[in-house]
Amino acid sequence: MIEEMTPPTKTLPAPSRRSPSRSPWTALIWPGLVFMALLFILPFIQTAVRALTDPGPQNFAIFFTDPVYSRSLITTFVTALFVAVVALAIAYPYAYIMYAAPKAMTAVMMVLVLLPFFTSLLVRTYAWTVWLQETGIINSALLNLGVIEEPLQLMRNTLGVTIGMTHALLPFMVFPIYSSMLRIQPDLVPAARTLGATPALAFRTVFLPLSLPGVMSGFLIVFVMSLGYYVTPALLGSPRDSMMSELVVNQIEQQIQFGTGSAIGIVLLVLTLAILFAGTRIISFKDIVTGGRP
Amino acid sequence: MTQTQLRQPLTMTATGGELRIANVRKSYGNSRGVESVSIDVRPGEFLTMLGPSGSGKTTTLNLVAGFLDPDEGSITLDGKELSGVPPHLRGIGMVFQQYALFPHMTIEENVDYPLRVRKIHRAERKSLVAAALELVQLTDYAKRKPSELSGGQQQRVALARAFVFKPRLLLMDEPLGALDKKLREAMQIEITRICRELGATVVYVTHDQEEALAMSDRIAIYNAGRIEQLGTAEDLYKRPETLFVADFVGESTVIKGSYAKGALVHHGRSLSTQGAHGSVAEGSAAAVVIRPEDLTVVPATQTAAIPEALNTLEATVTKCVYLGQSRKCLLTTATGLVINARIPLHAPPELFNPGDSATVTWDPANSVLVPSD
Ligand SMILES: Nc1ncnc2c1ncn2[C@@H]1O[C@H](COP(=O)(O)OP(=O)(O)O)[C@@H](O)[C@H]1O
Ligand SMILES: [Mg+2]
Repeated sequence: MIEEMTPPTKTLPAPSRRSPSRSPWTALIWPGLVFMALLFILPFIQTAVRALTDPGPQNFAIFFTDPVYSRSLITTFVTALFVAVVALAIAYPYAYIMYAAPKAMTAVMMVLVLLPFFTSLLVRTYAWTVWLQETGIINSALLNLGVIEEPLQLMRNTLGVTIGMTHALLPFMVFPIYSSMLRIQPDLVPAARTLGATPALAFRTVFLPLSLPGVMSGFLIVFVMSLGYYVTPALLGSPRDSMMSELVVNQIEQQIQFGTGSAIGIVLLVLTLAILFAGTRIISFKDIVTGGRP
Repeated sequence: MTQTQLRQPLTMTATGGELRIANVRKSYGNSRGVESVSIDVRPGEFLTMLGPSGSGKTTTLNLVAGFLDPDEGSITLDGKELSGVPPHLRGIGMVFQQYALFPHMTIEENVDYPLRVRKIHRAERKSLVAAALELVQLTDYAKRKPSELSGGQQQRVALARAFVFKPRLLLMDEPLGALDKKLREAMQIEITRICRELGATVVYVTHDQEEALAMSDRIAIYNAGRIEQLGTAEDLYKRPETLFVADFVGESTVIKGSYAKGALVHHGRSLSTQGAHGSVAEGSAAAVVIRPEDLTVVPATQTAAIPEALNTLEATVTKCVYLGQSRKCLLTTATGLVINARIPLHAPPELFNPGDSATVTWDPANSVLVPSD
């Protein structure tokens, strides 16, 4: 999984009426395809081959023999789910305020949510340690104010990982939701009001259901991206509850076991694809990428 | 959430309410919305607000619907003051220009929405929805989604949804604006029929004067945040009270000058206003308005036969367009006045070629005198 990515674009160009194969612009797809083939598909095949042959398919047995790996599988999924839920809880109201607020405020909120993209993930994660560690800003402040007697354990656990990852992934939740709100015809809520709905009922029966495609795509993107996160769990997480990406690094850098490392990677990839596939049962892949363009 | 207090007896025809808008003013920051609008809409009446874009029609409708609060003035429905009552408690149906159907619900669910919100019993809802869909002739489309319907059909669903809960008042803001001309004409007839059958009071907004003339009992002409005139189509056409109305409704020739002793003085020429409709103060700036069908154009050589009592102006034909029953001709006088006339097809051919000289005559009793600026 890649950790840095540009946010999904808000508006895509309207699909051309002409058959895409005949447009001269189709040629532009080739550099992208070659790039993907060389830098993604080939290494992926290599990884798969390695997992099966170095020394053999028994690489995968590690998940059944060593509880660290099966536990990590659960940790990874629970953390990703946690991050997606927390990010949704923050992003939906945030996107709604962005939608309802005057233009100037929307612009400020847009920049705030985009800020993480302009700073290195590593720097951002270290910045969180400054806040969260035992001698960090939050603990010092609370100790000085006498609110607590002992420093709180804010990092090196699931809480720290969730805080760091939610912050990093928030844009991927905010943007699909916001863009799906923008696509709701502005007359619909007033129409519901004239038909007898209170503001809350109009929101629940009209606005919320129509913003769900954005919610689903944001949730899926954040969840799937969380599964492969490495830097944040490594710096903010517990060394005992490793996420799968940490185990891969451990296998390859400490144990020099490329075969086992590859096998873990393949398991993670297959599970991720399975989730994406299950997701497409509910919402089309195109909608995941575009946030539910009608 | 229930509005039991607003629930009306559920028969398919509702009696229309009486809407009174009195001296209402609304501004948006320092931009004008409406200034002092007053209208009394009679029960069961189809009243249209007609006026150029930006003249305050939508603002008025939003004030009535409850999306805006007036800065001044009062709005009452059947004697009850509406200000302070939120939109969902006003019991007013509204049809929006872009239909505003809920895309995630079927046609049936859309029409059922106001009934469901009111927690009306299921069986009653079912029969009301069926009756409403039948009235707009969309029974076969009940299970479809709005995106599967044409624009005209969607607007009929919007209409059914707006009246199914028996509102005392129906508001429509340019409901046909998104349709093409042919469909628009068919829908005008359709909407008029449905509203008559319902007996509802309707306030309808359009900027299309033909639409207003075709559908309405009375028309309010809007201009720059005010109502210039309120009356029947015939009132507005035959007896315009302001220059704006004369100009905006139908075609006309407008001759400006100053009014003195029963005549309009236009570039030193005295034109009689004997028997003309309307009155202006002696010595004030005024204008005479004449409809094309009240003007007669004769060749410059035949002026001898014109009776003394008629006004005459010499002019040159600048342009003629063949219309089927007659020719629409524009003539210009030496003073630069543009005259809009109809010339019969059997008129002498030297009358409708550019450059031909002609004399325009009219009976002053068929003209209208209005104040000018
Ligand atoms: N939300 C708004 N904010 C500021 N000015 C507005 C707003 N809505 C309408 N106006 C102004 O109020 C005037 C009347 O607008 P409107 O009622 O929409 O006219 P109409 O419906 O007749 O085209 C216009 O000058 C318009 O610019
Ligand atoms: Mg308008």
